[in-house]
Amino acid sequence: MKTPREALFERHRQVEPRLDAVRQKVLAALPASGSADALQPCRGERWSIQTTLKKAWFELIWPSRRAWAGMAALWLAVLAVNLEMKATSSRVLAGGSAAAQEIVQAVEQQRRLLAELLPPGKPSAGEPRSVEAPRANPRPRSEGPVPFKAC
Amino acid sequence: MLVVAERDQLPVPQARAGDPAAWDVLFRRYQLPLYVYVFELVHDEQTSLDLVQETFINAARHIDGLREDDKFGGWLFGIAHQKCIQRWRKQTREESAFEEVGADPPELGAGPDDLLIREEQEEEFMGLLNQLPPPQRSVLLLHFVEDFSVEQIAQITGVAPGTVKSRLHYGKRALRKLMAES
Repeated sequence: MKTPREALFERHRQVEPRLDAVRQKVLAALPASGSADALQPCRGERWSIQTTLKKAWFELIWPSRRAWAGMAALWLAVLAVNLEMKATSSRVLAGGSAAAQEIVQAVEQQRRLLAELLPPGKPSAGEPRSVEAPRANPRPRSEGPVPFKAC
Repeated sequence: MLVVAERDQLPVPQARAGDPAAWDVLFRRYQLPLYVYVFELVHDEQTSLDLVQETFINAARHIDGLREDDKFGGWLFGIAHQKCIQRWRKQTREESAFEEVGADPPELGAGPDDLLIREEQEEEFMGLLNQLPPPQRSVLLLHFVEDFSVEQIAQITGVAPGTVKSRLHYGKRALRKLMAES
């Protein structure tokens, strides 16, 4: 009879030479004296960027990846709606400006027509007019025509 | 008891001071248990060797972070466990492997040796162990290989002691049941 520990260890005994090689490799990377800081510089460059990014990915993003994906989808939806609204409003604006131009052209045409029809002395429709137009023949009310009275 | 005696004599302070001979003793002591633990989780020899190497390198680099010298073993297995989880995440990208087994922490049996295996049952035992989901397997391996306490296994695996008890209980029960059936 064996304990699980004995059974497991016996099963993997044959790998011990390779484990010895791994141990020697790690020990060779250790400095002869002082702390194990010498292991740091050989991976120093990657430590700052690659490892930090990996660590951030696994500790910050990956555990709540569904929440992040949901947020991203939500933002994409908001962005899509926003872009769609912008496109619609610019289309409306473009259509509206065309109509306004037509109106301006029509008004200009009418003004030109009016200027042609009116005699040259009269102020044109474009000129500013006084609020009360002058009377054609000003005279006292008593001199005016007798109103016709029907009996 | 042999494991505990060996653990008491570990030259952790010397290793912290940078003594290569002390590191040699520590690596020798843990290389096979670590390899067994990692291999039974990842099932690939080269990957397991790589992970053991990475664990040793990390240990040498971060030994100053170890507060209690007598917890060196658990700390080292904690590093290896994290490496295994990173490997799982890379390979499977599945959360289901880490699902909980049971809610109530039942009482445990005596120790890792309460489950004895006959020689003709060895292969079967290994096969059955590998059928267990990784969280149960991980807890059982830590229990079998190093006889870690529930609290130590909880620290290594980063789960609550109650969850460890539960996983140990259900893992052992599943193994016994499977072995009885065979």
